[in-house]
Amino acid sequence: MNVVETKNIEKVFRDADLEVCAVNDVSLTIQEGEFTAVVGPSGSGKTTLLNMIGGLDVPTSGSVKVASQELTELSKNELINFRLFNIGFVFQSYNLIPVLTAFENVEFVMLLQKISQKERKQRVEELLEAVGIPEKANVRPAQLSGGQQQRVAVARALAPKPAFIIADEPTANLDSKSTKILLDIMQKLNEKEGITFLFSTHDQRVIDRAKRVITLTDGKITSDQNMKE
Amino acid sequence: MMIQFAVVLATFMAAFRSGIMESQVANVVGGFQGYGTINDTAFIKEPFIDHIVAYDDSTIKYLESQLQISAYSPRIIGGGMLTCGDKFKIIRVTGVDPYLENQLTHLSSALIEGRMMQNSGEVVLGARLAQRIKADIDSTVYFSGLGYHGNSANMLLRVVGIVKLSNVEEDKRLALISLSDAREGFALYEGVNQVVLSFNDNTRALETVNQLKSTFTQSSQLYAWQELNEPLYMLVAINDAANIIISAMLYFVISFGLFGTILMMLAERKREFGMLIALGMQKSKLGYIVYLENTLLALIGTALGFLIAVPLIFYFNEFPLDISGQMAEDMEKYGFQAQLRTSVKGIIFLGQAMAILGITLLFSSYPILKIRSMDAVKAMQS
Ligand SMILES: Nc1ncnc2c1ncn2[C@@H]1O[C@H](COP(=O)(O)OP(=O)(O)OP(=O)(O)O)[C@@H](O)[C@H]1O
Ligand SMILES: [Mg+2]
Repeated sequence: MNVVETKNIEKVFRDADLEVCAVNDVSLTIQEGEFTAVVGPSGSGKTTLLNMIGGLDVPTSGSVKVASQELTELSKNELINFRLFNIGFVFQSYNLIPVLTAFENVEFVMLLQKISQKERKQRVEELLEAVGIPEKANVRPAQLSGGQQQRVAVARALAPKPAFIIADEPTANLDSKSTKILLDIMQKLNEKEGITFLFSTHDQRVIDRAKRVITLTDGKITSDQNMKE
Repeated sequence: MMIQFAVVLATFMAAFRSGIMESQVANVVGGFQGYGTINDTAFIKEPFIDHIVAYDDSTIKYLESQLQISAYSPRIIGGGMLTCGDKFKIIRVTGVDPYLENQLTHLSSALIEGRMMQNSGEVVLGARLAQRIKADIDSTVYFSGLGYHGNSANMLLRVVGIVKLSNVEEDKRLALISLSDAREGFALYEGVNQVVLSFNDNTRALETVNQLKSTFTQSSQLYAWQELNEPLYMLVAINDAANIIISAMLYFVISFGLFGTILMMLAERKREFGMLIALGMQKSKLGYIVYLENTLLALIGTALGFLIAVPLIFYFNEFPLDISGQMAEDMEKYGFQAQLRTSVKGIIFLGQAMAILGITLLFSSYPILKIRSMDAVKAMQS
C-alpha cells in the first residue's frame, strides 16, 4: 500500500523578485514498511520536500497524497488535525517541551488525541521501553543527552500510531555513538513492527543503513536506488 | 514578579495619597469645623456675633427628626481678647452645650488636663493657646470683647481643662465656655451663630446637605464643609485629579512592563509553539492555553501583591508615619497634620485590582493573535 504519493510537486519561494525553485517536479511513492533516506547537498530541497510530504508546507503546484488523503484539499485547521493523527515527526533539534518530563512529552500528543489515561500510560511505557530509556520517564529534557532526547522524540512520533514517521536530519546534532544507537532503534522498529520511516541526512553512515536512497539535486530527483543486499 | 511589584506600588501609593487627604479633612473638618453647618450667609464672610440663625424648638425638632444627621451642636462665637496675668491674645470664645458638643466633636477625648466645663464661669482652652498666655488649670483668665448688638462682653473665667486639637490653627484660639455663660456674657438671648452638623456618612456631606435643603425651611442657611472651606475643598479636588493622573502614568508604566514580559515570553517560546503546531495542536487551543497560563499568572501575581500591600496599608493607617523637623513645622503652619497615614477605603484596593487585572487580561490576549498568524516551520527555525 502507498503511504505517500506525490505527483509533479513543485515549490517556488519568492524573495524580493528572486525566485527559488526549491523542489522541482518531484513524483515519488513511499510504500508501507520502507526505510528511506533523502539525500543531497545543502540547499538541494530535502527539507522543503519533507515539509510538503509532512503537511507542514503546501506545494506551489502538484499533488501530495498521504494515506490516500489529498493534502492540498485540506484547510489549514484540517491539515493540523491530519498531522496529529497520521504523521509522526522527529525534528533535527528542539523536539521536546522543556517543562515536561520525557513521559509527559510522549503522552502529550495522545492527550491532544483524547486517548484515555489508562491507554496513554500503557503506551508511553511501552514506547519508552522500545527506545531503550524506560528509566528516564520522569526526567526533563535538559537532563537528557542529545541522543536520549532524540529517542524520546522517536517515541513521541510513534505515540499516535501514525502512517509513517518523517525525520529531517534526526542525527545532525548527535555524535557517532548516539547516531548508531538511534539508527539501531529506528531499524528495529522498522523491521520488527513494520514502521515506515522517511528521513533526510548528510551522514554517509546513516545513508549506508537505508533500504532505499533518493538523491535530490537542485530540487530534482537525480537517483532513486534500492539498497537490498 | 513584575505584576506583584506593580500591584504593591499602585495600591500603596494610592492608599497614601488618599490617606493624607482623608486625614487632613478629618482633622480640619472633623476636628472642630464640622461636616455641615447652619449659619447666616453673612457669617461665612465675617464670623461676627451679630449674624445669627434661629435655634428654637422647631429647629431642634427638625434636627432630631433627620435620620442623616448623627449629631448637632449649637455654638455662639464671639471675638475678643483673652488675658492671663500680663499675657494676652486675640481669640474667639465659643459657647457650646457640653453634651451636644461632645456628641459631635468628642472633645473630651482630646483633653490633656482637667475636665470639660460643668458649672458657670468655667473655660476650657486649646493647649497652644494656654501655653501662649501661660495659663494652667485653675488660672483665672479675663475675656473682653464685643457682645450682641454693640453690647460689651466681659467675663472672668476659671480654666478647668486643656484640650489639644490636632488642627493647629483651631488649637491656638480655642476657648470653650458653656452656652448659657455665652448667652449671658454676649447678651445674646435667642438664636445662635452656628449649628454644627455631623452626618451618618460624612464622606457624602455635600450630597446630604443638598438633600436636607429640600426639607429645611431656612435652606439658604445650610452649608456643607466644601462650601465653607473652599481652599481645602479645592485641595481635595486637586488631589483627586492628581491621583487620576498619577494612576494613569503608573498604569502606563505597568502596561509597558507587562507587554515587555509577554513579548519576551513569546520570543522565548516561539520554537516550542511552532513545534506544538507542527505536531498537530490546533492554534486556537494553543492560544487558549497560553492565555489561561498568562491570566493565571497575573491573578496569582495580583493576589500576592495584595497580600504584601494590604497588611502594610492597614499598618500605616493604624500607625501613621510621623514627620519631624522643619518639614513638620511647615506642614503644621499650613494647617496640615505632620503625619503620613494610609487610607483603607475599599475602593482603593478594588480600583487598583480592577485596573491591573484589566490591563493584564488585555495584554494576555496578544499572544492569541500572534499564535493565530504563526507559521509552524518558520517559528521552529527561529
Ligand atoms: N522559507 C524560505 N524562503 C525562501 N527560500 C527558501 C525557504 N526555505 C528554503 N528556501 C530555499 O530553498 C532551497 C532548498 O532549501 P532546503 O532547506 O529545502 O534545502 P536542504 O536540502 O534541506 O538543505 P540543508 O541540507 O542545508 O538542510 C534553498 O535554496 C533555500 O535557500
Ligand atoms: Mg534541511
